[in-house]
Amino acid sequence: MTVADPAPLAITSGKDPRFAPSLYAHVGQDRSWTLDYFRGHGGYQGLRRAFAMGPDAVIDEVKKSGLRGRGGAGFPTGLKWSFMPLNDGKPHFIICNADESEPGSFKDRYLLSEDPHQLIEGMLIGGYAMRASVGYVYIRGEYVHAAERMWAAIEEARAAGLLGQNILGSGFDFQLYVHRGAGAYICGEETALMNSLEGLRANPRLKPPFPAAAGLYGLPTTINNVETFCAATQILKYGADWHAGMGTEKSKGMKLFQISGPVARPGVYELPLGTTFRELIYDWAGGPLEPIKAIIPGGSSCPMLRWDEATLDTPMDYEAIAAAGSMLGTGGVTLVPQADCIVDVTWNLVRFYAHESCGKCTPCREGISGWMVNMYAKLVRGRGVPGDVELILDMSENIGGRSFCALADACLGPVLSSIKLFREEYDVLAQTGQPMHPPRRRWKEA
Amino acid sequence: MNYFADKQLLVADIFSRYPDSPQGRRSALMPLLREVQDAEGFVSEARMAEIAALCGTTATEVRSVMSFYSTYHTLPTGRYHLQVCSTLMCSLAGSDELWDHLVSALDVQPGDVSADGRFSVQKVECLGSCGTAPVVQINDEGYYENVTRSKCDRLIAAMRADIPPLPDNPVPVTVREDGRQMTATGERVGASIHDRGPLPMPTRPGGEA
Amino acid sequence: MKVTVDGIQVDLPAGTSAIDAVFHAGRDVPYFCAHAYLSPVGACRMCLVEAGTPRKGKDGEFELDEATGQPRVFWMPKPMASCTMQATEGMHIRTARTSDVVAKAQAGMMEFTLLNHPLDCPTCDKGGACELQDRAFEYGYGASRYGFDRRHADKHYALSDFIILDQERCIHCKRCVRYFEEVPGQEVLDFIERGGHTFIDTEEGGLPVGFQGNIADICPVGALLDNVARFRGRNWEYDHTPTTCTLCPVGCSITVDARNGRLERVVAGENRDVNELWICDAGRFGHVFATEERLTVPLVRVGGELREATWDQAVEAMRQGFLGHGGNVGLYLNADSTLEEGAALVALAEAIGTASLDHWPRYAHTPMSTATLTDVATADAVVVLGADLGEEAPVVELRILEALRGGLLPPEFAHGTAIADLRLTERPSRTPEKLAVIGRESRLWGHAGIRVAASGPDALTRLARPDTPELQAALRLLEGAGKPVLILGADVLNGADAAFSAALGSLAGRVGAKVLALPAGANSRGLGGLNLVPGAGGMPYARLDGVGAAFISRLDPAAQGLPGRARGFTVVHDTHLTATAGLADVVLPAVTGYEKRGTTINLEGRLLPLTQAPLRAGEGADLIRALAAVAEALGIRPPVRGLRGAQTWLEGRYGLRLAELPAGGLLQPPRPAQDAATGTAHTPNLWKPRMVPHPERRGSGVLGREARTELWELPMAPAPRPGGDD
Ligand SMILES: Cc1cc2nc3c(=O)[nH]c(=O)nc-3n(C[C@H](O)[C@H](O)[C@H](O)COP(=O)(O)O)c2cc1C
Ligand code: SF4
Ligand code: FES
Repeated sequence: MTVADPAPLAITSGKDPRFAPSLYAHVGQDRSWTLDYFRGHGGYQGLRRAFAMGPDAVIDEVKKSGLRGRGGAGFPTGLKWSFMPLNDGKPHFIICNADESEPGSFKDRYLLSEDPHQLIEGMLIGGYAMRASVGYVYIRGEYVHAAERMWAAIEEARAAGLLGQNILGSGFDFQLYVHRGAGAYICGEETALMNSLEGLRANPRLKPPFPAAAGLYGLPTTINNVETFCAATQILKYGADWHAGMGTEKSKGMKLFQISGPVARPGVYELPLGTTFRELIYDWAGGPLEPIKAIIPGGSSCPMLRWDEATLDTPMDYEAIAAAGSMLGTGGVTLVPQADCIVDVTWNLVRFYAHESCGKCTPCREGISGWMVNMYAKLVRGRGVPGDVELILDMSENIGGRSFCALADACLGPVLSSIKLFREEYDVLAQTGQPMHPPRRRWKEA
Repeated sequence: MNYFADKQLLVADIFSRYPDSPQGRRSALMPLLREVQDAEGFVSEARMAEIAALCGTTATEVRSVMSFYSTYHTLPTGRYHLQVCSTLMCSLAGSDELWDHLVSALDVQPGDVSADGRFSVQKVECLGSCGTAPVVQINDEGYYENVTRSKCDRLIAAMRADIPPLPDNPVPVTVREDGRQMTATGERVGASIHDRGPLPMPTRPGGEA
Repeated sequence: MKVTVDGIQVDLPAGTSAIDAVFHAGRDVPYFCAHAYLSPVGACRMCLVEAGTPRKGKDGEFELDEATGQPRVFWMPKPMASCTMQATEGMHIRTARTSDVVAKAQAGMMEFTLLNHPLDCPTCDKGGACELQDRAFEYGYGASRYGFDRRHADKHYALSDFIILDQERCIHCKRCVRYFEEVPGQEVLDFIERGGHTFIDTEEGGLPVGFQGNIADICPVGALLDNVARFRGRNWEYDHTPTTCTLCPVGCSITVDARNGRLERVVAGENRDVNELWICDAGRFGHVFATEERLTVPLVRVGGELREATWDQAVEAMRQGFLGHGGNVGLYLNADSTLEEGAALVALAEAIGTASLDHWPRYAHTPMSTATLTDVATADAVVVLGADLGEEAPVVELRILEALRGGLLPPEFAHGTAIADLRLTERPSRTPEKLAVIGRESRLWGHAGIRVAASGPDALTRLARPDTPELQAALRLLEGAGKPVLILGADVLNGADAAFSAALGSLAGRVGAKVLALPAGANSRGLGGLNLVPGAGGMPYARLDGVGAAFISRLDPAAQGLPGRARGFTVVHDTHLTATAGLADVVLPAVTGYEKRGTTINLEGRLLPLTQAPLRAGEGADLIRALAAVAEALGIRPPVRGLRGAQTWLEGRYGLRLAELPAGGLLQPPRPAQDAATGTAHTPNLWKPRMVPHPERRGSGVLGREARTELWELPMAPAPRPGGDD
């Protein structure tokens, strides 16, 4: 097999006989986090190929692969890498965004703890391509186990000459460090993350200047998600064409989908982009355990989709989910049971965003952290009045697109979609004070 | 007493991760806070001032940054600080009942420490354990996942006896040793990446092989 | 660059922010977080506008609209914060005037801003001058739909003795936090907690005295209040008098707020060339001497005791007292007196024929200054020699810090200083390596890359011929710079002489530096220029016991440990019964700098106008009138009568035209002052004892802590402080 092999048909199913999981291929295997294991399974070959190609060719390769950011926004990775200035004489930084805090997302956690060398290799490739000399892995504070594994892997790599000066004789110098967060969702926003890394309050920064021009310490910086860097490792190892042969026209490659809520086998599944919800939910996760009314398709900020045949047949790629009115996000799929009050479910998420608002801008601090959360509490406690739902909608209009960063808009994802899909539940609750679906026991005994 | 006085190596190691500049020094703020909290369970005003001096800033800034994040504490916590995820996916798996159960079984309210000094509790947001919900994190250590009522009671008993079990950190394994995934029905499908040999080395420039 | 705002086309320099484009076009947009001298942050989200730009096609030309032939405007999908958006060529902007989307967005944002803001405007000191109140009226919905309890927090939280914080009123615009970081460069105030729980606080055991008061001016609401002026009056009750501060030679622009003839408050005025918008804490809070224990009538010594008297009786007493002293009379005045007052004194001295006239404080010899404050702010190297700026000229410190921040002077538009200068950034990087401080340790040390402990005038010699690596570095800094400035303070100027000036001149000439020698008193540069110093055989201030009779205006030599009386008869003209006044034979009530008209010359040689605030001063008289009384007592016709007369005298002799100064003052070419020995050294000290508020003093309107607490705690229940863990 060579790189030039054309992919005759795009692979859009995990069951396709040609599809082989790669990002997750070693997660869960014995001692998969060690350098020995990693090397024994073709580790650091992608890096060697990168060194052989030269940095510009690496960026071209990533561009050609069609890889898009896996942190939520889906920005083409190769293009992002090419924004870094060339020969500007300044130190460059790359940062791996391992702050994974979006409710419903839990893929990066296992990549960090079970296959840390895959990430180190990806960051070396990125660092080499973007002429960076230092990288940071910003790991959310709660991921203690992941951070420890990451540190240990970095130590191993350093001892093996894979980090430090003149790596593998390439003349490339690179250092990698872990920086741990301390419990703030906003640190996932790239400019807030840089502030946090600089020891400041994690308020998002003004853009422009964009990180590629003035990021960490005011120097050129690029931030990518854990899965994005890991995908780069695979792309350099197996080729851009291999990667581009999976997925759809505009959403190429494989993706780690996470599924949670009442399903038989919750967890992380590596599937090509364009796989349908139906395949993920039924063929891989074993189907729902109880009647479902909505799907949160990609982490809690993505608008809910109604549980119906059309949704189930929607391919999970950036475009198709957008066409259905939501977002692929982080690929964290959550099933919302029929028997739970949608207002209560949404309240939980609104509370999350209210708690995580950084407080910098007015619409988010007062609108979400102050008002919205109170409106929901009032409704759920049965003290709503007719007109409350209209008020929530009008407030949302005053919040949406008016805030400094995307956190406030993220909160409106579940709010607006749940009202749109389940208006009746809201109205009944606001008018009668009684939810259509009363609270129930959910905790398992054993 | 000065906490970092006899930990010069540690402090030097932390500073070595960041640029040797005033901004770089400031970056050490969070790791230093973490050190103190791990050792003492909380960060006192005296420690804030000490960290401020190390990072070349003021106690105001340290307090400001510290209070921004939810895992730093200004008040002492119990020997076992239990953090219960209360976000939707855990809530759907019963974390509200889990929380009520903990609060009543341990007789402690958030912000307080139980009479025996053992327990404190805190509701936290999504811990990234949605597939293995509900989850409890103990101290700045690992996760206890899929916490059912009986598992919760076992956990409490073990902590009361001061022999807490090791964290689970279960991994949802979906790819078998042969590199293929298994569907819900137990069928092995698709290919294995192990069968795919690496590409030959490219020659510069371009990547043509 | 052409930009169209609501259909009005304006031409703007590149880099202008959209908000400045709007105001320059004469349109309006509400804003809370933006501030002319601070970095734009886009936090309050009030300044939303709709914006659209033309797009360039493949050929590099703007894509044209088929119908109109004009460039097609592509509108952005959502309203943008105009304070953080750069206007670009061909941009179109719509404000609330022409866009319903913007009007709704702003009304909604106002509702959010007011959500937790208490409705205590009737008891708020900011009422009537509150940006929130005004904007809510102009842009709000009129009523809030928020049906919940407002957030409760501490309403009387003392951030320092001078600044009270009402945490409920804070709208989180971050101006105060940015101010401390960006202007005086102090990280002493910041947000605590996050999200809806965010509040501001300091962990320094109180804000440092220096420049803290400015935050009360820039707070757009009544959250940060001047504690000295607390509960003293409402904004519309005050008479606002813009004038010049005479506490130090910077000459900051200030506004004096008086009510019923009492000075209640001083706030900063804007002078882009001098103090921009900042004043020091002494200038702001140190005004209580103007109200506390003022002398309001003349006193005459009768039977060994000072008794209240009329002016006529005082003149009569002076007539008696001056008898037999002939021309052996000394005339002394404070160096913060105006040029006009100085002229009156010089003219009288000439009429009497005395060589004993002097002002204090001053130096025996003052080197020529060539630098302006703008030169300081835009310098690429600053060396400070023997100065304690905090005591001598505090605002110079801010202008130096401005230079270290890049020396950006804000652009000016039709509406004044740019509201959002996009070149300013939060947590600005500074260049301490451009500042060398040589002298005793002071606040400025913390910002200096080069610090050398030294004292005395030979610091200059050591700098010119450096004997340590630090001094060598300081000299190299000067040599390598394109626009260096050398600032000299009391510690070197006290011993300066002509040789010193020559050495300074040769160093400055060699490295191409401009020089700023800080004058000892607020107007000593002006008074020195009038040669208001002892002539041949005359007695300087420190030797006033050498004259037969003396007239001493607003000086207190006795408190300084100097002779407090002339050999014979002594007249003191002062606002308070000072130690010296207590020794005098006749005491004439004087007025403070807030109650005068006239002109001073600041440290850079700028003529600055004083305006008279309507304060009740009893029978207090300014120096011109007091000297007229002295002349009358001496039986001579006062050579200068009234302010106009003094100005005519000044124009006649020095060509100074003072009648119509422009608002920002007028730079004067330097005028060499005559050397004259002083007989004592000058120790700069900004805060005089009477400037510290003492609630127990007569006439003090300042509430004591107990009274304040009572007032505060009556209507409101104490609320729990937010904080702790979640
Ligand atoms: C409020 C907010 C939270 C975010 N959280 C995360 C996160 O936890 N992890 C992540 O990778 N990206 C997160 N992002 C997206 C990042 O800002 C950024 O787009 C991403 O890290 C870029 O990496 P990618 O191009 O590889 O996707 C968040 C964005 C916002 C606005
Ligand atoms: S939307 Fe505003 S308050 Fe919310 S997180 Fe972003 S910047 Fe902070
Ligand atoms: S966002 Fe506050 S003035 Fe623009």
